[in-house]
Amino acid sequence: MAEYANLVRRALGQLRGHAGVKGFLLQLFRVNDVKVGSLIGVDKYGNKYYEDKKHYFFGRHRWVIYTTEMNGKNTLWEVDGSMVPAEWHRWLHCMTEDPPTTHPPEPKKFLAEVHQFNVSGSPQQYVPYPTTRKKIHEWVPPKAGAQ
Amino acid sequence: MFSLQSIMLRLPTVGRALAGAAKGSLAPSNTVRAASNMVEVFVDGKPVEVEAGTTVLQACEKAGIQIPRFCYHERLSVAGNCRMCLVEIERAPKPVAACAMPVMKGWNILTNSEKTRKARIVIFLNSNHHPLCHFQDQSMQFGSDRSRFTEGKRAVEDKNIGPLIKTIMTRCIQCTRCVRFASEIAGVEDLGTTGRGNNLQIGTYVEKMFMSELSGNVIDVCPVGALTSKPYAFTARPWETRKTESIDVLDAVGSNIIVSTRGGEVMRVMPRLNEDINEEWISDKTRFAYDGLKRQRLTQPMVKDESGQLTPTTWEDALTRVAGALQGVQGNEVAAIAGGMADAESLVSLKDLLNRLDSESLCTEELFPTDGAGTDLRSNYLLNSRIVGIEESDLLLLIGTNPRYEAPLFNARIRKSWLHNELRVAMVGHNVDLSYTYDHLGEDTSVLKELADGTHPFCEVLSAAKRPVVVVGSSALQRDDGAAILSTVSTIAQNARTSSGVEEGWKVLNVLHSRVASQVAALDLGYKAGVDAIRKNPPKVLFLLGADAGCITRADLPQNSLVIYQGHHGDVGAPMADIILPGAAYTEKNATYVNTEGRSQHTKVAVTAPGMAREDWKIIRAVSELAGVTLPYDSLDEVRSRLAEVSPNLVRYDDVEEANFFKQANDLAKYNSLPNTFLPPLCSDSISRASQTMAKCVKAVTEGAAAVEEPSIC
Repeated sequence: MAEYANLVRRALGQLRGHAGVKGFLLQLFRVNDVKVGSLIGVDKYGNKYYEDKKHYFFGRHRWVIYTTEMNGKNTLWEVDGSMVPAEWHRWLHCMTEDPPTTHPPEPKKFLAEVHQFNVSGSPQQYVPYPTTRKKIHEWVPPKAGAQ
Repeated sequence: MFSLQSIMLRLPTVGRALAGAAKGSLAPSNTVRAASNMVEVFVDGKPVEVEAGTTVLQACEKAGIQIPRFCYHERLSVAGNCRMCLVEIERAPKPVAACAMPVMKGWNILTNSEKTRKARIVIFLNSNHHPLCHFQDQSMQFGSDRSRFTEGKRAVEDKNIGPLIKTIMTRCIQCTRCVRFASEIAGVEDLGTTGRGNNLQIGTYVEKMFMSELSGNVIDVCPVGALTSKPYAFTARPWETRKTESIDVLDAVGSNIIVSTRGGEVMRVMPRLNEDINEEWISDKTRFAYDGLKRQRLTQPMVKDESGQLTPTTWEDALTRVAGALQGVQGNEVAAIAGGMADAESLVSLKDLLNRLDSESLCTEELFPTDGAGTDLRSNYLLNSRIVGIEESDLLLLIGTNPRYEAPLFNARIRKSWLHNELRVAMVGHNVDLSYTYDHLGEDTSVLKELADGTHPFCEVLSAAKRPVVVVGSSALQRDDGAAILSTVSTIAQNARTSSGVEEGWKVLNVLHSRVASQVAALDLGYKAGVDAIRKNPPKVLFLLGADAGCITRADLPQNSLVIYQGHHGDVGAPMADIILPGAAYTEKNATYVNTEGRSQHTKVAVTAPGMAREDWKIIRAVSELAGVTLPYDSLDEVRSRLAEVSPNLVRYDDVEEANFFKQANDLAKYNSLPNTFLPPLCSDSISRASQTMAKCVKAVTEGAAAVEEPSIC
């Protein structure tokens, strides 16, 4: 009996946490998981980061709800793990206990201003090119004006 | 359309057999000895008949047994200091050095007995062996399997002898092959030994460059890796290279080479044995100028657009423009100039193309006097005595040529003759160092007149000679009075021939073509020598087939003429051109070249032509089809049968066709001194000019060996 009461309490809590039935259903179809937790922070693109240590064990205790539009791409349904920027990635993957809200990252040269997600398979992908020296050096014709 | 007969004649053996019956009666000199001179020796019990005077090593080789040796080399004098060839002779008290000891009758040579094997001491002191190391091979075969070495090891400093030869003198086993090569064959006494015993070092003692145009051959001669090729170092391993037999076209001698390639680029060039031309040596330019094949290459057809800038384009575009230009001209309005490295196939197709357009203005860049016999009789422009013939002659008269730089292997042959066969050499021209002593008769053409008249004191020597050879350099014939020089020289030659003692069939007059490998083939095919014909009738369309000597410039041509350049390097001809058609260099095509003796040889494809470049005759064939005057051949065999139609000797490979009709016209003109018309030897063609190794050599020669900066790799 008490378990059912607990279950109902949890369900109501989740409905409340996702702002009503509509939000609950959106979360259900988008993320396939309706757990609620404390909102730790939001990054500048709109991704929300949650944590709940009390109810979920290590590995399931931190998660991200992705934003709906990032870098010009509509990410409502096409969500991509590489959307998480570097400083939140560190916290999300439990490399540290301190989220960037309390411990902002040290500015580094290689940290991009605007985080780009993974472009593999798209036209912007990196294609490796040879860096060896040329075998045959072509003749460069002289400039017309120089003659 | 080719016939079986033409193919059969192309096989060298058949051709030689047929020609042998018709050959002159000149008795070969290196032959039949009296049977009573043969000595019978036993090699491991097996009897073998050898001539008296052969060494034990040669007798064993005749019996089929190879005795290991380090310092012995067939073409160098015997040193006998490596002691590797020690063999036991039965009943002799001590083992003898097989390379030095002449055989005696009845000896029994034991090449594998206990004493012999004990005598061959090879101590494997070195660890990093270069892949072609004979020392390593012989140590593996004959050395002991464990070390008995208790003394201290030695290390020797490396010597700087130039930008071409890398020296790691610790590996040197002091066989003195390089010293003997330098002193006997190259003629420069730069290398020598310093110190004695364990402290013997080979080098130049003072920091001096090994200044010889044959210096690269010490790399082949050194049995260990003490002297190696500096440009080739660390670029490839010999087992990963493919070797292609080919012919060198950087000078007119036509030395036989092996082109080693890996992954579509030429890694190095090595000599091939050919007793008649280059023995087993090649000149430095041949050996090291291959890196010029990778720079300044023409890889795409180019056309000049409205602003005058050459822009790359497609083959269709370039060929249609050429064809369009050719369709609009007739007769003398179209002309062609053949450059120094044009092969016979492209020469014949170009001539056919232009003849079909009614034009006869096909010229070579090098002049040749056209008075008298001119280029009609082959004997007038060939090295008639052949390079081998120098060995049989007893007097050599050089006129206006510096064979040391123009044809280094010819010079090596002269030196060999001078050294071993008592050849007397005389020279009319600048007093240059030819690596052998000669009588310098003077520098003026008046000397030639006196020789022709019989008033010069040297004439007696000339007429007393049994086999005189007169060689006139083609650079001397390029001057204004070249015709006079040629006629004077042929008078001299004729006088020498008809005078006492010269046997029938011995040719005296020779012309040594310098630096231009295509001249003889072009003259054989009917090209005019020299661009005067073009200067007199400036054409509207000029076809340059690799012509980089700059004989005709834009200033000589009318205002809106079209210049088409077909070649492989962007040198002098390409910037001048309106349309550039990229052709193949000599390592990239199956081509026929005729050397200065008239010997036709063919190159083979070692690498494919870079980018969009194609073989030259194929380009001309394509142009002809687009221009509406399709040439009748579609494949290489058909082109070669066309060559055989025009001049059959061009397809009788590796054979020299003899020429006759020594007729001359005496036409003496004004006399003045023979100037030094020699181009710097290392930069005489487009490939050498593009080569960085050759540039380093020029810098080293002018500023000294230390001036060349090498990246330090230990």
